[in-house]
Amino acid sequence: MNLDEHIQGLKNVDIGAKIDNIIGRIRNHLINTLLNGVMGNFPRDSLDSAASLLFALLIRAHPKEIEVDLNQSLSKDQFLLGDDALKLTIRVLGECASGKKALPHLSTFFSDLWDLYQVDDAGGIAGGNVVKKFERKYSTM
Amino acid sequence: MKNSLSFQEDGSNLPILIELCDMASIVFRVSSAPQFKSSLTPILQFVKKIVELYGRLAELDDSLDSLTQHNPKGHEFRRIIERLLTVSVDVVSNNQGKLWTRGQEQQHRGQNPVEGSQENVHGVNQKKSLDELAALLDIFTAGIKQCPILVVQLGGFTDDESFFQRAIAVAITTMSDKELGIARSSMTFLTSVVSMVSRVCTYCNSLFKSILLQFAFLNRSICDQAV
Repeated sequence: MNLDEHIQGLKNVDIGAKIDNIIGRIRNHLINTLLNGVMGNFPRDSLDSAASLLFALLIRAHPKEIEVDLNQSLSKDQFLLGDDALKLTIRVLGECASGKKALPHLSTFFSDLWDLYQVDDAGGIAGGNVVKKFERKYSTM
Repeated sequence: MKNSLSFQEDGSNLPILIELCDMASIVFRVSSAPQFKSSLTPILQFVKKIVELYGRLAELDDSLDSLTQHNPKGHEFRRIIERLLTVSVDVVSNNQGKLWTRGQEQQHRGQNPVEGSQENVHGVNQKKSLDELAALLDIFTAGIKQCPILVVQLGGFTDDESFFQRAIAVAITTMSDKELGIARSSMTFLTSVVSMVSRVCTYCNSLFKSILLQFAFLNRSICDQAV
């Protein structure tokens, strides 16, 4: 390996740190936008892309950072389906972050969550049968 | 043009590729004229195809074996891809929607690039602009997969911000767009960026190991000479 290649290599180390730095700065905003979109705001056909992006963010970040991001993004004001469904959502995302659940699981979860937000009054169904069915489905998975 | 592309591992079709890229540059130049109403998307898809096929040959490979091998045609492939990426960004950034530079203007005014991202581009060109922007982000996605270091190192219109950084800022503003194509392309691009971290880090780790090995070898040579 000659000197030019060493210099190139050091530049690449710098690139790795640079990308890491960029993602660190935008991660919180991305997670917030994705979770907000999944709550019925994204076009349905983009949910798989959203799940892929969130999954990539979850598995690459430090668990403590993810915990902070999720707590900020999933505030009770934004999440209208009730406390139990909120806890369940945080648990499912945590399982994805720790590698216990794979991407298809998150895609299905996003799809079901998105469906729940399609009623006119999503807050009105909190604690109702439809939400309980959703909670049961993911409690046993 | 897209159908005339075929991959040759030894780079033997480089002269044809150069011709095709010259043609693409002419199409871009003609298309960027104000009176030109057709979409740039097909020519952007052609660029994406070139990056998919030849990006790997333009990149420093992430294995140490190939790093030590000199690739005489690599420089030429690198030049072609850098040129096509630059001209693609240039044309899309000058289109009527100005979507590529929109967040940049807001940043320069001290705003968060995400604020005001949902404001519409008025007129019949909105869909065309969004499609072209999606096609440009698809080129960057292909670039991140095939030649990440080239894409990250590529400059920008200003010293403050590279094309790569601008693409990220744009993708953040458009990922929640109601238009499915641009939303998907933005999210796919951002996913490829996030996934790239581990790939570049793997490369860096192997590079550090190589440097350490060479220092150990050098140290041993010095010791042998002293003895």
